Amino acid sequence: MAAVRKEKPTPVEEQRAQFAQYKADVKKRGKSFYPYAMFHDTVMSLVVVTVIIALAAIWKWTSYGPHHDGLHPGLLGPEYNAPADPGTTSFVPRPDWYFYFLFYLLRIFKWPESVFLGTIGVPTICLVLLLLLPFLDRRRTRGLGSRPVALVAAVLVVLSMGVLTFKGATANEALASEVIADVPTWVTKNNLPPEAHPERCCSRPRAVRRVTRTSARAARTSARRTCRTSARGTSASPRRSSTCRTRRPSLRGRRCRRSPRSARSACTSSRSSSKPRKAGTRHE
Amino acid sequence: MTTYKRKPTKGELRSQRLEEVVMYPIDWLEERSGLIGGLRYFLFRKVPGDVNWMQTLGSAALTAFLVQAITGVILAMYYTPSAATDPHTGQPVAWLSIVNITDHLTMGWLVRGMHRWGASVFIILMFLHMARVFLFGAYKYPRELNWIVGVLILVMGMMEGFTGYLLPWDQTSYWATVVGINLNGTAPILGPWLAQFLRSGQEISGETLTRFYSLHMLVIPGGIIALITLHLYLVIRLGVTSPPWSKEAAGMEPSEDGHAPLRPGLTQPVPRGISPQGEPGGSE
Repeated sequence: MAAVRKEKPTPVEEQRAQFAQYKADVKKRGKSFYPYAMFHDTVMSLVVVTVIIALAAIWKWTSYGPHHDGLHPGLLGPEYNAPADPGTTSFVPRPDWYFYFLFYLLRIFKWPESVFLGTIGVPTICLVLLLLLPFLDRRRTRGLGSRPVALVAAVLVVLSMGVLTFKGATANEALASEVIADVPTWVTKNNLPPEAHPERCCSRPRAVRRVTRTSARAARTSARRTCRTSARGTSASPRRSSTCRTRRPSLRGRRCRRSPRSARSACTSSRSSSKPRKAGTRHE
Repeated sequence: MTTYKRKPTKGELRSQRLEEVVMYPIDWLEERSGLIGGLRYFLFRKVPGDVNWMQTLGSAALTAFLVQAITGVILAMYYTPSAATDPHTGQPVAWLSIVNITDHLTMGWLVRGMHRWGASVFIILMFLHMARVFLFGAYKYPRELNWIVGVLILVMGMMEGFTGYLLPWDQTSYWATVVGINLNGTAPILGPWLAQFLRSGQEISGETLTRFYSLHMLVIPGGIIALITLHLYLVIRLGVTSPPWSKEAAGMEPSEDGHAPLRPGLTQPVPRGISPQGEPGGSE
């Protein structure tokens, strides 16, 4: 062996040799994909389809409410919610569960200067690291025992994703306050009128809704928006605004619900003082 | 073709003719496209003898994607991506079509439920598949490119989740999308432009809905299908890895210094300086 070795092989040569060895081993000792591996794949696929059908069935049968509509939240949530209404003031937005970890990142980077980190910064860095993983880890060993760094990194990533998803799922109040925390930067960046600033919203309640709901830029174009009065956080009793209904005859019912607390918390940008509210169940 | 010493019986002649009839179109296709040979290669290629159940996660994710594709096509036949108000009920047309699919269409609840929960299953399976690849160190040479393709599929899958979430046009989907688009808008330079593009204007409107619908069922799935094709091609070309802890792993596992196999009893190391393409130097 030592006689054969003329010089130390380069890493490229070594990895090529290793792959050639792999190919030779598979050719010599491997088994045919069909039927051996394909059998496993087929069984697994059947399990997947069964699970999906079971989830659909559970969704249907537990959410079919007494009024025979899908609004009743069953084990997996209602089949559909009330129709979208840009005029509501109290709805707490929630993404699908697999975005909860992103969602919760925003609570960690809650200060206006750092929101950018939670929304784009950290996810982008993670994605780039994920894409570059094969180039960061260039050693040829594959056994986990000889890859301690990879093992620790994997455990940390899984743990943090799990914790973030869980925290996002159980967060009492959703993003509204975070979005508000972001507003001052938008205001300065986009040269918005000072009314858009949340600090001023208590004296000029019109700005609150604008800013909490849609992007702050929408403030300029939203003069036609109705139901604005409903955002006034001073009155406690829910009262449907008649102006809203006359101005937007196409929309019925539910809109113009007032949420004094959310409006107030919007003004002060406080997210901890308000009592926990079950988010996502907006079923009244 | 069997040659008979004696005169073939009627039965033999019939089966001979039957074989010709069956084989003719197959041979025709093979001669003109080579597809049959490709299929044969796909089915009867060798995989390592020690592949296990964890390695079915990729095909399970593929199955979930196919479920999404089929149920999505059916849903597209009945869904109307319009935020216009229905004159009879006063509700948005898109929301009404979802209610119709869920409550009135025969088996509509099943198709929609499978699509909705299949999305979650698809995402979960992609993450599990990625974890398996990481665990096995299967992203290493020469499979780096396939890892990158897989990450891109995961990202596009989550984009499918984001765009699909708006389509029911109910409160949950509307406000989650408002927040999601605003988050995109916080990115530097491209952020506002991206938010504007996704919204198709200053605010979320019916145009946003049709835009998301187009992205959700044409643009992103097209990209995913292309990437999955590339992914599978690379899997077939490069082969499936053995579990790194396997006693009969195909390919040698290098030791820490990377010059000798970790388990010399299995396969002799390829002599350095000699072409690695030769026969493996003894085994078992």
